[in-house]
Amino acid sequence: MSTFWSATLILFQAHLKRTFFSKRALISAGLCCLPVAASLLIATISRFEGPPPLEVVLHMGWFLHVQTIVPLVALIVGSAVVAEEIEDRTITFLFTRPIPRAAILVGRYLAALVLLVVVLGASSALVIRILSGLHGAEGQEIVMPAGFQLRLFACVLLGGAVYSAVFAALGALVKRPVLVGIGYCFVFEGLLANLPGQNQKLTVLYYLKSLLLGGNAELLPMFSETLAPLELATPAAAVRTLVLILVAALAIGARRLASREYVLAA
Amino acid sequence: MSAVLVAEQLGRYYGQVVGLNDLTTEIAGGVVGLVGPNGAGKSTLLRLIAGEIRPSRGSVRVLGHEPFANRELFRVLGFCPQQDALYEDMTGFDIVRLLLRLGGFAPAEAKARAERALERLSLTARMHDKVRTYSKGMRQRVRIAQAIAHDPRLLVLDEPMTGLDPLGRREVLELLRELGSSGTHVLFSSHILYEVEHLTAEIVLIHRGRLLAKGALPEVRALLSKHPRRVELSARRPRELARALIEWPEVVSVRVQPGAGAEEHLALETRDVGAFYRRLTGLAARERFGISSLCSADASLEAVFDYLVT
Repeated sequence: MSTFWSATLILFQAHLKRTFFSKRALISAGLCCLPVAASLLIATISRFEGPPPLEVVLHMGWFLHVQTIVPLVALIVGSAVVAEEIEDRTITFLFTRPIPRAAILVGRYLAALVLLVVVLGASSALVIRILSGLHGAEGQEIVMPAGFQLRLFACVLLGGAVYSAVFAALGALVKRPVLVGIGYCFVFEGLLANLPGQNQKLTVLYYLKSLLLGGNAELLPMFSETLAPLELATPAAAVRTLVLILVAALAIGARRLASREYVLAA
Repeated sequence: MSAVLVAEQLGRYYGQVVGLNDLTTEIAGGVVGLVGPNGAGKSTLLRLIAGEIRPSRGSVRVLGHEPFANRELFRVLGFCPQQDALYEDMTGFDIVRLLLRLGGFAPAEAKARAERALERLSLTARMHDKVRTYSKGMRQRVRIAQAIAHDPRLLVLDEPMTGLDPLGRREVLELLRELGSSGTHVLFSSHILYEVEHLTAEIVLIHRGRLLAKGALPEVRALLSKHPRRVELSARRPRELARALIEWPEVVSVRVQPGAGAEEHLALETRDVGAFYRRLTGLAARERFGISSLCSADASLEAVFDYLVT
């Protein structure tokens, strides 16, 4: 095994437990409970008043989960990957070992990714389970388009992976990754993704939306009522682009980490 | 033997602030103390040597390598940073073992080395406790342990005695002395000059980012011939002795100071300590001043340091 992969694996193993028992993990888990709580509320209401229209389910899955909770949790976990080592001034110990610096980013990112998969995956699975089983007092059921649940699940996980890679890279690039990350998520992405035109393609949200809706064209009008019209990529193209963004973000972050010096206070 | 450290016109600036300025020096090896007041540039120099930061100008080579992000150098370099930083939620043992694993040691070897290093720092009993429960001194021991665990050729320590109690200081001094004797090059900074002096006579003095003096302590002291040197004398008739001494051309000043009880002693400054001692020997033989003790009050590093930076 090359030095890079062996160092990545050692760092991954060392930081996995630390990541799971961190305050950030606790906050992330708390945030991931919000969509579950909202789903339970919808389920309770639907028992008395009948299942809500599909739009409600769609918008809750998209706006609350994919567009809000996923970037927030990814920001909390992802921005810590490198920035925590710098803030805690422990990066000196890693920088003075005979390992490629990129392994620090990748090893710690993979540990963060496992946490994200667990908290976002569990939250998403619960939301889908609750919403899929919605029925009214007289047994009316909500009909979900084929494959919609699986796509929503994939959107949450892939969105978490991509956003956290972007924020991990930000941690290596800028001094205040959380602040810049919030600006990126809710100003850059939030604005561009909802503006008409080709600008949408510059956002992660566009590809997540393409993945969620690409195979279900009948859902598009439901979105279009609240969002500007958009031209979707195919789900396969969306996944490819998202993976590309993830790899590019990690590569940029790793490159910066390899060349940057961090002046740590004594 | 090639030099452990070669710095040429080495400079490091933090924006407008000068951390290190135009430092040209060569350190052959052995145990070398880096001394200077706070803000002198000691930590900056050590960070440059450990490859944590890059020079703003000039160059530095450590064991023949440019240090910044140099993996080859990091195999043979141990660095104990000044900052009180450790992974709080890990045990001392886990930290040292992790860093050894990153150094390329197999799991069993890393475990054995981590145990050995922590034992050398007297941390065996607490090595499996979380770092957050450690005292300041114990944390410092972990930092030193991680720096020595892989048997580096060059050990760089930034204020290694920080946070240690007197016993801990003695143990660490002994450890560094042992490492030095076994052939490890040790470069350490300290502002506790007493400890530097007890560990090595080889010093590098820096002040305001510049090299002030370098070499064995007596050599450094010799550079200060223009500065008067202090000598303290005890005598039965100190006031008469003072009157005699003040006439000598090499004596700059004489003060009578109260000693224990009714006893008085003399504190004088001389431009030429050699000539003073020669003449004093003759005086002591001729006259009966009852000189009972004589010592050079400022042969210590502390005094040299004071002279140089004030």
